[in-house]
Amino acid sequence: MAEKPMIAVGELAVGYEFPSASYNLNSEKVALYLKAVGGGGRLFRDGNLVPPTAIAAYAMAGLGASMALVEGTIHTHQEMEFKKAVSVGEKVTCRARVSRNLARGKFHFLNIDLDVRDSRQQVVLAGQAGFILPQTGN
Amino acid sequence: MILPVVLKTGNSLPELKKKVTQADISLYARASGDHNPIHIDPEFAKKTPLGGTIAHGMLILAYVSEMFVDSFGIDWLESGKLDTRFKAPARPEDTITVSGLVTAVEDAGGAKLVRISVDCHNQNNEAVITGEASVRVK
Repeated sequence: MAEKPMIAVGELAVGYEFPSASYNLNSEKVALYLKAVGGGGRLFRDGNLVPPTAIAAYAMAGLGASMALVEGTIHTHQEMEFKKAVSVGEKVTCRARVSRNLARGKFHFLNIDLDVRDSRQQVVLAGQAGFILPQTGN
Repeated sequence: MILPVVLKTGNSLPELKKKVTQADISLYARASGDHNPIHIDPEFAKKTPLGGTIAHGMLILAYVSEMFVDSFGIDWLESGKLDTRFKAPARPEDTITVSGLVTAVEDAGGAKLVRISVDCHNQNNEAVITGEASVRVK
């Protein structure tokens, strides 16, 4: 997603699909994530599984690189549904779609639906992120 | 892996406490790819209405997920659902307590569907994240 030009939030119509982004969940990437979150839980100590919140975080960061999020943007809610354990070394692809973009007063209320699939095209994670953003005249 | 104590309405999951530092937040920015200056640039953050850097919401959700991983193991990775609202930012030097209360245990086709209310609060007892979760326990 990062190579694409940023899109102003005001231009995001409901149904807009962000360019998909793929990530190789290699051991170095996962180890760095686990260090950053303080371990992540007993299940990840043997280094074979990827924390599902890591996958969600990569998807969210990809979104941030695609949208022109203005100062004052608030991440208001987050839904996540984990469907399948993912092994270290797997490649996943994240897709995101605007499901709500409501301009009300001085703010945009933006919801983005996410899904992440593994290399067999099975959904491993689905969810929604909600944001409130100040209007900037875009 | 599952802790039997959680399979009863009214029971609590083992709490998790995490102290958030700026080093944690900066490392999380590297690990996730979310380099928004509100998280990592104290000079920038000082000039915003937040008055200082804040942790990524997804970092705090990683702590929430850790509580579920330690209670439900692989079942959390294969069937966990989390629906959360960000109520207040977590800041460097905050101590975050993550807790979960079982609100229902339902039969679900040979498994148990466990519903849990989620609360994260800081050392001043201010809510940082609230929400609901569920997991299908085999």
